[in-house]
Amino acid sequence: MKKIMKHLVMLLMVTAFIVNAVGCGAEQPSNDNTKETTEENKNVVLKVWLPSHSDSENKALKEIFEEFNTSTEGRVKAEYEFIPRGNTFAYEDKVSAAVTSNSLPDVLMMDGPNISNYAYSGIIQSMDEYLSDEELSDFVDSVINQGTYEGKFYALAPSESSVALFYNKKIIDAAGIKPPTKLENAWTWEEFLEAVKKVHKDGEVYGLNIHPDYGTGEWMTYMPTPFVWSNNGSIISEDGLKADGYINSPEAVEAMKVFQEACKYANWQATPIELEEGRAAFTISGTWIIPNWENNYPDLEWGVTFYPYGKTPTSPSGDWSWGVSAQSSHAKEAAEFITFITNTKNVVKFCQAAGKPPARKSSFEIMSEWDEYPRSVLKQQVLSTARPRPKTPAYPVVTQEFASAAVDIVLGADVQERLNQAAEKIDENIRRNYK
Amino acid sequence: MSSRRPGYSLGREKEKVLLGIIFILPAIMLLFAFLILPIFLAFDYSFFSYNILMPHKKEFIGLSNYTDILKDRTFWNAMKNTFYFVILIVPYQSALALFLALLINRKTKATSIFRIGFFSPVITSIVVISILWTFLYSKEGLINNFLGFIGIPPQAFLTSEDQAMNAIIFMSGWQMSGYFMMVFLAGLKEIPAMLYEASSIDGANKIQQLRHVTLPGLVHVIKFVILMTTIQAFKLFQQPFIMTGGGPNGSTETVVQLIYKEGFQYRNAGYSSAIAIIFFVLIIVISIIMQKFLEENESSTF
Repeated sequence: MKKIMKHLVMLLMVTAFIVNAVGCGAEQPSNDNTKETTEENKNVVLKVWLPSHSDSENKALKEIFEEFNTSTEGRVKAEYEFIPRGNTFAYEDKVSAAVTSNSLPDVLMMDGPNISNYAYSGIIQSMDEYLSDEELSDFVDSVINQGTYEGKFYALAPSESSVALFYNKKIIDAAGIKPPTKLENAWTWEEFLEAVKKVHKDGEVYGLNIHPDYGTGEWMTYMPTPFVWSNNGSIISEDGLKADGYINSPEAVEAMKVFQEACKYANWQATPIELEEGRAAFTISGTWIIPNWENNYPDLEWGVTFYPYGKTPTSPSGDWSWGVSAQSSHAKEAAEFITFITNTKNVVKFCQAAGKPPARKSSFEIMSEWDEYPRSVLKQQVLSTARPRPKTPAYPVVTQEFASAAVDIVLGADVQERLNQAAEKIDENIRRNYK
Repeated sequence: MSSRRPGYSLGREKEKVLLGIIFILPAIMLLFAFLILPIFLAFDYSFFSYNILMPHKKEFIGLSNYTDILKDRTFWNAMKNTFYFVILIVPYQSALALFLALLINRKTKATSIFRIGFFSPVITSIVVISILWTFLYSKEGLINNFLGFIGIPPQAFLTSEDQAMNAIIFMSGWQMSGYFMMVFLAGLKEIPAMLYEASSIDGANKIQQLRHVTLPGLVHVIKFVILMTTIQAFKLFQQPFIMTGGGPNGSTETVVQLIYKEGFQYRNAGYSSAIAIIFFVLIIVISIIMQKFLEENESSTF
């Protein structure tokens, strides 16, 4: 008896820990009762989910939402919920969990590259019926491209994002380097590497700093993919179902070798701030660094130039977009809500708070700061060289595998071998789940 | 509970049973909802191709998940890393805990300060500790600065394939040893002082006392600590998740991390559940073997 008890206790202990590890939830029945009552009252309640942004962005968004609620008083009411995200996939995990339990909101925000994945999975619905071509033509190409899956339009981004080569102006000036400010003069890889090597002084000044996240977020896909694209390569086939021969193609390998070479001059640690302190010359970073520097390092003299390229100038793009859940029975009102928050005025308001480039051409016209250097560099990228991340139903696998390969490449892995491994892993996953 | 003793009426007895059931009901319900049910669900999922974003496409595929896992290099790599962690951390952490316990098992004023000092990492969130140590381990961090003073070049603790797991082991042992130190301290208090007196009268020195009095007196505690450390070590997740993301080159990816990645990031609930089930069975087997082994040695050790 005592022995049985002992085993039982142990079994419980082991079970407890396994469950800790897996933590799968049970399915819940969907609740459709609310639908009828709201339709009767003619007062539609829209549930809205979005990831929590910075304080200033959250404030601007809240104001926009409240303005919407006032304008549709007695007819539509948006109930919004900001969901903490951190730098990880916590928000995506919540969306996944909601799919299993049939509790998705009517309107949800999603990161750009997830649109195709969600559309394929059937958890968001096409907005073609509610958005006119005229309305859409005001958005930049990369946003339209990103929001379209198999010929249908699904999700709309109010803002764009871009990554470029930022630099500490003092160091660059002292070295006599003049980074281009016009797109046609953008640096090629050779010119870029030459400049990085020229300013790098071992132990004193890092040529190039990069903020790593050790492959736990989207950054290490978002930031380095333009190396591959600008070499006319790609990380996945057109239909998004084959990685072998793409992610490990000669073009991709050559590009990632250049990236590896450049990163030899980087300080690779959690939060490098050498550039701000005058001990690093260049950094590859996103548009969000501008408000950060303007607020926290007002004395820093900095500049920015285009993303260096191999054969075709390319820059990354994509931002959080608004879509309508497939489970929503208020698609019309949801589309109305999205149209309102992405109208020219509100895009300006949001982008000013966020310091992001707007996704609408008409908003760019209002925001004249984007016509002046240094922001003009980023505007040129958004309008001319922006490319969204690949569209594939297997996007979560592709991005994770590419990002960890990119991290390993920075840390010195053999490029061809590591990308072969990533190709194998992605294709294996696609074979299991998407065919 | 069925035996009726004189003086107790049947009604009273029944009442007690009912009361007992009511008391344990909430715990049983929670256990069922968050422990037992998920295990059965995971077992069920493991035979399906099940993407959590596409519940309508859930499809029975028999043992395919299991056969795929056995061919999956990532899985074997994660197994290797997990076992490497367990095999190194169990002796290291237990020995460190015992050492600390012996050090502070004296009644001086400083003892409680040390006790709090050694215990504080345990009550600090592992997430906070991992982030702090990421800074300590970084290229220009405190540890590398210190190494610089004694002439050792900066080490790539978390960014080198050979060192990352060891760096995590070193930190994890430091973090958890405080907890088991407390367990050992409690065990030390149980050893009768007269044994030490007797042995010193017999002429035993400190080392002999440790060998022949302290360790035999702690046998049961040591076994408990080893078993608990092992089970806890198999759970390794947060530290590599935060500090290295499983890299460099998969050298710190553990099985639990793989379960999370496959299940939540890649959304393959079926595949992920199958890994969890395999791991579950494996750990039960290991725990039983360990328990048997420790039981057999009960009489012979020391």
